[in-house]
Amino acid sequence: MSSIASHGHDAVLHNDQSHEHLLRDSNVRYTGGGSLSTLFLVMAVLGLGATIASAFMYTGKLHAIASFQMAAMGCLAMCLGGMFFTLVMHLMAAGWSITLRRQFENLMVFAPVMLIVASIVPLYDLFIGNGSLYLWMNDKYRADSIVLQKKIDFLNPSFFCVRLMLYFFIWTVIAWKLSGYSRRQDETGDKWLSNKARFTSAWGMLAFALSTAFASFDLLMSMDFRFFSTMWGVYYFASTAFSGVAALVLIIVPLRRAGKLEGLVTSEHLHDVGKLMFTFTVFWAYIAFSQYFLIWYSNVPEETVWYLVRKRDGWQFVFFLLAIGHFIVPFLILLFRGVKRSPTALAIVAIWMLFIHFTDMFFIVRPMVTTRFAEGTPLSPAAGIWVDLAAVFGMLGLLGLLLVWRVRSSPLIPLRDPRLPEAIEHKNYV
Amino acid sequence: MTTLHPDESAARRLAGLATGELPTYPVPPGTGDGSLVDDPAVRAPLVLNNRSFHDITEIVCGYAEKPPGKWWLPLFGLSFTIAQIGTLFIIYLIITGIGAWGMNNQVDWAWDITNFVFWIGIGHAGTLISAILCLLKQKWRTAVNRSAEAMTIFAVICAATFPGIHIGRQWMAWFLFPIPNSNAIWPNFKSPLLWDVFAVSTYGTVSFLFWYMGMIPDFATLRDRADLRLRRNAEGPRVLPFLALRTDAVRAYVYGFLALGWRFSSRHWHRYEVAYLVLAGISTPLVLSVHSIVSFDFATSILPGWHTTIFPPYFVAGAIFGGFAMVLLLLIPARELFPNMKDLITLRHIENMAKIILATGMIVGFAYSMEFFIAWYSGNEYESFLFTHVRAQGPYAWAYWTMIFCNVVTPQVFWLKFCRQSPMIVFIVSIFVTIGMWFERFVIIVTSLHRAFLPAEWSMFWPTAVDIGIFVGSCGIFLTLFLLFLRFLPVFAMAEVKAVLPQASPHHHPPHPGTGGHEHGKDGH
Repeated sequence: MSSIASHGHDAVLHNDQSHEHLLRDSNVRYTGGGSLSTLFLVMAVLGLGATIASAFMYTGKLHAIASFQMAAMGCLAMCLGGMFFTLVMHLMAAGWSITLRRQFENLMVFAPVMLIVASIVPLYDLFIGNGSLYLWMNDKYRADSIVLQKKIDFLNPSFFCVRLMLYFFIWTVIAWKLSGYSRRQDETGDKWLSNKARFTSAWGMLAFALSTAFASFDLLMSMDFRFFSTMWGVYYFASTAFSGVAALVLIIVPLRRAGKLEGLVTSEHLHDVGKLMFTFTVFWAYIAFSQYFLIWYSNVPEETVWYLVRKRDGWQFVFFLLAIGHFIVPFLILLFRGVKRSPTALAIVAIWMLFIHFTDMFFIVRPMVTTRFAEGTPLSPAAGIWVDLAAVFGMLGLLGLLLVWRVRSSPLIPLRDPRLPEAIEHKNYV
Repeated sequence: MTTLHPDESAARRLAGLATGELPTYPVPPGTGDGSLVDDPAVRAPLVLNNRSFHDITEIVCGYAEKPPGKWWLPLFGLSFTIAQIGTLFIIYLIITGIGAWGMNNQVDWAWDITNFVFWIGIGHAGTLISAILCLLKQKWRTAVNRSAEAMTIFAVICAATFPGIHIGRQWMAWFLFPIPNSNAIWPNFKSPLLWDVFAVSTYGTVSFLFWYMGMIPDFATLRDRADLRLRRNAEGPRVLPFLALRTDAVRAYVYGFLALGWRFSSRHWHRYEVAYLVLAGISTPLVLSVHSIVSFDFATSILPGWHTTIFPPYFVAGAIFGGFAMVLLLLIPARELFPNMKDLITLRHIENMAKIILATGMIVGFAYSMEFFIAWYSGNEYESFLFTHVRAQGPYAWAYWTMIFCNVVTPQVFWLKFCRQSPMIVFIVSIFVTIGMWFERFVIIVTSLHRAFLPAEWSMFWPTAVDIGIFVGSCGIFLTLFLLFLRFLPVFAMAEVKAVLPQASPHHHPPHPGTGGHEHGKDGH
């Protein structure tokens, strides 16, 4: 049974002195990245600059803010994915993934930052833009819509702002505490910090689940205030885990390329990360299918309207692209053992996963530009797509810039985690 | 005797071949039975009391070979009687028709479907432990996977009874299956009810294969031990006093037949491991699909309280929640009743399962609150009326609040460490959870149906004696089968338990003989 139950473990973890050489500074600290920062800065300036500029061009203001919001929600999902994996690894007292956890933590700390970025558009809509993207903020609908009247206790400006602050507070506390414990352990070597992190993760997971679900209601679902789905929070959560693990690969693999993490993140770890990518590909498909299928089957007008506008005027191609690209393609590719164990192949799949993740956000947000309440001329997904690409490009540049700074600021792994030896010795045996 | 290796002498005592006390080993203070280690640098032992490989074989085979305690036969007799009373009610139902149940024109799905969903859900914990925890390399699963898988099979058997008998005309039961149109009628392939037939039968088949395949090496061990005793000893216990047939001969043949020619060759093991992994991979989507499709039975409708998109993952989480409660309900008494079982199912195992109950209970609570919130947020008056007036305040409000109390409130005690680590408290909470999960299905099914869109159609459901008798009977069937399993089959996967012993690790360095330490790793290497 050795491959199933893996090997029996010692009651006391193996603290082998032969691992010391792996923890040398040149292996666990990243000091380069100057040119990478410049690249990301250029990306951010060009991309976000082009998005803002497009507001004054033929594509219009609404398209620009929709693209910006789509990109921000995509990046927020990646950061929340990092938070989810950090929480779950602490909760399960995972040993194998200790050498990966720091990079999840680095993603996690930017969740509050990306929330601020993702709050720009709704706050603009609320105070200046008169609900151009978030229709419930629009005076016309607030006056006329009976459905909206019923939701006014939830969808009203003051409560909305309070909720945004609440999400910010929750994510900041979780990120600050968990990242703090981890970094303090690097310095003090106090193994009991692991138990504190585990306790934080227990209530943190509950707070994370509720805040992520309601944030997805507020920032995505409420754009079309008529639409509702109990699955929505789970759907956005599936995207966070899906994109978070892809983002991890795109941090780890370049670091390995730069000669870091030798013997710490091996093909054994990549193999298991590949399995996580596979898992959340299937999980996303399960959630997305269940949501779509139940709405399609029951055919209740106030629900189907959301999908109806996303299955015409060219959007049906995006719909099918998601079905194939968000599920079938990564599913089939990640089945292969060789892919999961090859850094290059895994990085390529991760790039694809991020691409399709942003396509998913595009599918949710962009139709709001023209298809709301069947007003305006239908706009195909291809029309003015350069704005969307620029926004994603710029937002990834911004997140990349932040990440490079963060990755450089601390060791690449939790250096003195008591379960580190387990991670170093991790093997799959299959 | 003094020349025997300590392992050997302990094993002989376990096997009843020698008298004397079993050796005891010091337990570090503050760790309960020795498994409740808080130190993050130390992994808790999964098997206590320094058991050797041979000890494990003796303990596990002992359950199937030696007569059980005095408790077994009365308990078996009781559950068998209950099962038979249930059978009588089923026969009465078939003779009389389903009018014998309390359902009516409005509440036309009630107790039967509640029981079906309840039992199907119970089974999910077994598949979760055997498949998903296997893929996640959770080593503690090895102590509980076999009995949880067995429970899955028995729960599926109980569940399958209800769709079979609820159709009213039993001679038409084959209509459930898409048998080519001998009656010029095809089943409705667009109906989730038909998918249920596929889902549950696939699930039952794969779960059975998984369970059975895992037992093959253990059957072979039981076969070889019986065979060895036959060869060594001309006299031995007989099946019946006047029959010249020895019990071990029956064992050797029956277990030998079940072992399918297993010879413990490395090639066998290799194929076994690959097959195990493949089956775990297949079972993982299965465990999700089965209860998702059960949830489709409700969620594809447009009935308030039934049509909601979160149903599939919510049902799956609820199933795992209820299933783990049932695993604990069965194993906490078992580890008290069977000798040495506490060495294999430690307090750490109980605590881990309590944590899973807490986690899945909160997923279920999350789903309840999402349903409630979205019912209000949707602005759909029927949906919000159902939740605020029918479920929370209507005539079945007692059932709704029972569900909330049992499923959401009681598991919260597991935030406290001493509650997770006390088998008694875990057992009591498991009872609550089992009751709560039954009520969850009852609330979903009955409350949505008993208040239709037209008030003229409103009516109540009250169970009859036949309803109650068949449900209690299904509990009897379940317990009867589980008791038979405990008595005759390998209750633990021996090879897997051995693989998590410290001496199975390549890093294990036994203390040098003569230094006073207890040596391991002699046998089996």
